[in-house]
Amino acid sequence: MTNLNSRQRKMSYGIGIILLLGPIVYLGFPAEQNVADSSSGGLGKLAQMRQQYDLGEATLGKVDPSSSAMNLVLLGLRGPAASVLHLKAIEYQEKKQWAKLKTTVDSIILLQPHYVQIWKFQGWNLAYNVSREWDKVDDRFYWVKEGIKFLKLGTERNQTIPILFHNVGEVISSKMGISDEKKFFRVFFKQDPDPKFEVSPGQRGPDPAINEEGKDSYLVAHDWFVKANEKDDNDDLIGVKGMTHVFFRQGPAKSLINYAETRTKEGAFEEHIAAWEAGFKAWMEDYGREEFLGLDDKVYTLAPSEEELKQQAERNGITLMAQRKLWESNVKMVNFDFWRRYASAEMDPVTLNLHKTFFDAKQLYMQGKGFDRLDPATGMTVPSEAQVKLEEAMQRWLEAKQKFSSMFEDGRYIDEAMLIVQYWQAIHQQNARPIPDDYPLKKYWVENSYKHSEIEREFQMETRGRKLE
Amino acid sequence: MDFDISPFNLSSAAMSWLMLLGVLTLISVGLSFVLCVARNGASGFTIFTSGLRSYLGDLFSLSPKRIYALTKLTLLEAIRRKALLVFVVFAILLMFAGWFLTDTNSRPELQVSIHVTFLLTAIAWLILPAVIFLSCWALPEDIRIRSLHTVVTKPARRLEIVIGRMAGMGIVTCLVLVVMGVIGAVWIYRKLPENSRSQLTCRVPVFGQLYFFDTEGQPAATGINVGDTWMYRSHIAGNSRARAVWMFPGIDESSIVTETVGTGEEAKTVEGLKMECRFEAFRTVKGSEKSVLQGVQAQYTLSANPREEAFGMLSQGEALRPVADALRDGQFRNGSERIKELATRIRSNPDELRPADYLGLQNGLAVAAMVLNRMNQTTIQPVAEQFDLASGSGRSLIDVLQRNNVTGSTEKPPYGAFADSLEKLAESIQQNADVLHESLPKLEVPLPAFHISEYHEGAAENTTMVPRKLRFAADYETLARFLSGVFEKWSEEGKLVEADAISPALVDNLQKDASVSPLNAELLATVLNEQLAAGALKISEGKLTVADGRRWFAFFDDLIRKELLISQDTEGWLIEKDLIKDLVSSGFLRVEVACLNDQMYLGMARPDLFIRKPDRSFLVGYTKALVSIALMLMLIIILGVTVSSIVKGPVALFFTLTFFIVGQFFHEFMMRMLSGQEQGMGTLESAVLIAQHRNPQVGMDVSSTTSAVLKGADKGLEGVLRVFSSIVPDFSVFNRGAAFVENGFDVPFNDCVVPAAAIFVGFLVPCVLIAGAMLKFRELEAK
Repeated sequence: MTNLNSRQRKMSYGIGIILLLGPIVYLGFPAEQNVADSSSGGLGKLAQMRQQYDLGEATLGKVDPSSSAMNLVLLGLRGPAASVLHLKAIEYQEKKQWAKLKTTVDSIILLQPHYVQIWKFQGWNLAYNVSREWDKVDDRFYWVKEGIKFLKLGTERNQTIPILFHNVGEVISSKMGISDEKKFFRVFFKQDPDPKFEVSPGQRGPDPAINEEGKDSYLVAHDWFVKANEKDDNDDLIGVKGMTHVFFRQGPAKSLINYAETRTKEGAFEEHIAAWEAGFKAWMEDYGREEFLGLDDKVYTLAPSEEELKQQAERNGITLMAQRKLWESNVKMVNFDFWRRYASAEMDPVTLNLHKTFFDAKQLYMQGKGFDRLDPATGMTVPSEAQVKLEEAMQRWLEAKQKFSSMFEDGRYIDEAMLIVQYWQAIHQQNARPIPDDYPLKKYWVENSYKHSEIEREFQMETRGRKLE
Repeated sequence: MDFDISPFNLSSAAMSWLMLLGVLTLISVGLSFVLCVARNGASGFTIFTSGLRSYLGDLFSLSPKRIYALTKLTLLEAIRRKALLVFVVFAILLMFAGWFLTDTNSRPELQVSIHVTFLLTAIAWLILPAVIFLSCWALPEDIRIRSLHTVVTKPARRLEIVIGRMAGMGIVTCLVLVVMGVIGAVWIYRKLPENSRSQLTCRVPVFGQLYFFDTEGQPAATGINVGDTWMYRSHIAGNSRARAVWMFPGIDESSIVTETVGTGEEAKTVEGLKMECRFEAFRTVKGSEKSVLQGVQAQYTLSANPREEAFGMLSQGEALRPVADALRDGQFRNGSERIKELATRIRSNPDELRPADYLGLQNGLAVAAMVLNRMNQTTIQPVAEQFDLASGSGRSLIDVLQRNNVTGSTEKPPYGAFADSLEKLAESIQQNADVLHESLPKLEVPLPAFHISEYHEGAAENTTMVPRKLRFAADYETLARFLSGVFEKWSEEGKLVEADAISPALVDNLQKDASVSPLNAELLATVLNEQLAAGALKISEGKLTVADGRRWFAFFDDLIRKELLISQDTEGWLIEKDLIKDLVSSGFLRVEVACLNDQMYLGMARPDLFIRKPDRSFLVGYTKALVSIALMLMLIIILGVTVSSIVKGPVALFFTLTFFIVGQFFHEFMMRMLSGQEQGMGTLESAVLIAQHRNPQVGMDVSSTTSAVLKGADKGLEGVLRVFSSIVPDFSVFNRGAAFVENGFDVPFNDCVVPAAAIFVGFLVPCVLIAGAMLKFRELEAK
């Protein structure tokens, strides 16, 4: 027993507390971290060490303070609580209570912020499943954005997981680019339908949360794929969980090719050659030169020179033949050669001319310039402007085919040829003229007769919503 | 929101409560008597009677003053025990809730729902543990530290101690709840983003009854299932005869709201009914660009259709459909012929119709008789009587059929008598065809189509203001009725004739007094003059009448059918009707909903279309929800105090907690299990199946004796569950109010607050009596 009285004892406790607080603050203070370059500074010794050794939550992204609070509230019953919330989320989804679904999902990720599958699943769930439950296209877009924002949040909380970065790019790329609503979504991506994003009267801007700079959806997706690859770079050659590495890494190059392809379809021919060249370069020089691990962890690249192939064989300790076989099988797997040939064909002015001529012909047709005209000079009926353009497109197609003969055996060019013929035949029909016995692309039209109904459907889809301007 | 609550029947609930109370009293008194006698032998009887007398004496000499003193004591004690610390937790939660909740990017209606849900859940679930601990621990703790001994030595009855405890804790709880409620209300107003605040109201809905017409226009209980796992809504196909029909009860002047439509200089006040829908859309095709951007189209048709009400039920069987269709269409002569044919079939070949057809026919006849009788019109009374007689005859036939079916007897069913009654009915309909046609008018007012906005609760697109005065293009029947009404009146007044000819002022009168367009008024005058010249009309005694003595309705009906009155106006024959006077019959408004887009479907459940009475303030619904929560908390106090008057704190705690958990989360499951709706088998049988890794189809791999024993034991366990289910309160009733407020609705007092209060009172009385008795007869020193 001491001789101190109550007050003195309390004083000594107080001093003890303050003294102990010093080192605790010094050790436990959160680090001023810069996630982008993984540097850290500030007072927090423990936090710095955690970051240095890649331990704990500090380096895994911004620690959510409410997440820790939640853990305390639940007295460590984090697993069961998360399971109950998962069940709730499914129930809310079944009962179409979207607001509750979203808050429940938000609660789940507070409990399990580093469980990658949840981010992946719920991001996809919001962007795809929930989105399609809504009827109007602007509502669908809202939920696609929710899904993207959710995945984006996942990347912020999990800075070291490349697949999440890749997923953001994937959702943006496929939802805006190939979904049923792509026609609207591509516009919405730059001009959000939400009145909140009005920049000037009648003029909407993008939602900065998904498209800060108002760029094309494929270019935004490209940035995310690049980030995903950068994150992946930190892991040397360890593959990405949940995806074949060689497919994972093609994101940036593929999105540039998709961008070029889509812009061509949209008639942005001034960008055509530059866009395709960028795509080709990314495919050949970036993606094609990356090293991957094949079967039995043997290294290969997709576009090696003969010399490089030899070096790789040596490095792998296998024969040149075996290395070539390894290369061939992987090149086939990602269809590398097709995309190379496709991009190189498209970046050629001959192909540009073909697309442009056909595009112009379609425009003329849409503008109602598909009817035969009376030449005032001769008083004779002459073919419509659209027909003339279409016949020019047929010639252009044959020219391009001559230059890229093997590529033009491919479905998409054959389809284009048949669509040209379809338009051309439609013009004949609307002018009540019989289809001539012979015409430039007849061979392809006859050879692929099984595609007629498909092409007709496409023709109808393209022309159904036409506006006379 | 998926609420579709059934109305609460207070009187039947009170009856079953009284019965239960009586049984419990008998059991407890009987049991105490037996125990007393068993423990004390012959003197047990005296001890029992003196105890009972003393208890009843306590019961009837309760002192409010003493109870007040004890209540105050409990209150102080609760404060001393820092029960109010719950505020601190609440404050912390509210401070940090913003982190979880506020997302300015979310939609306003979602924001309101999220915030209100959080607030009400936080309030209920924060007070709950405090209340359970307080109520279960207080009495045992008092006994342990012997502070209760000092109270019982005072002239305080033990019953009073119980009541004082309950009241004191109840007051503390209510105080905490009121303070939390006020803070919560302020928090929600401040915390909600600016754009969401306008959504913070209480809509007052009038819900109706829903049934469907299938794609062939026949009545059906449900629509199409489009493959949703949740069977709540059913769908109607677009661009077909499928309809969803709502009958809204109690529609009168009080349902009319006044709203300002438009902005700025174009703003005008409109008086009418406000309807709001929450339909779901389902597409089988992508649809046009317009529908993708604007949503699926729906259309309301308001209708007063006594023919449908009277004869719709007749179309239950394929064999009866021709009869029903003719009568529903108002073709009474045709209908009469069809009934005669049916009678002949029944007479000559009765087995051609299935028993279900006879049942459907009898049911349809009974409904028709009921509806026609309800209309209280002397002209159609003879037909109503014949329907009644035919229904009665059908009843006797069905009785015989059922008897034969059940007992296997071979009594001859009175097919002949039934066929006779049907023939008489057909005759009566034939004779009164015109009267029936005139007395059973069908009025349909199609409203403009609109695009639904799926899942946007309360959005402007989903709200329709139906003006009080409806101006619409009339169909054939409505036009004939309108013109005959006008001409009958004017003919009586002698306004139609001037100098033995049709008055030249008719055109002006039609425009001025009947709001007929100039072109149509000219047309009508011309046609009437032609008819007069042709001899179809005549002028006698200065009055214009129909030459063959027919009524004006029949005359105009004829003209319209001959297409002599085709509107000269592109808008059609516009006529005006009053929403309440002309379309509401016996307080019911009938609304048909159609989906207009081909290959698309509209999904709906009963609460998905409702009439909105004037909105109330958010605070009204919020307060009602808080009252429900308060009742729940007080119920827990009552239970806790009752149990703790006999057992120790921890036991009381577990008991109350179990009671609460079962009542809150498993009550519905329990009821489903007992009513046989839940598939599966008994407890022991299931346990054996699990142990044997077998499924219910295969069954247990045990001997028949074991199986019988297990099943018998399961029956016993089910009996226990049955008893338990009638004692455990359904705690989910107390949360209903919150569900309404969360979704922006006012809390219906009769269906939410009254049941909650009834459950509370239902437990209060027996619990006070039991707790009083327990505390009185227990030995305080037995810790």
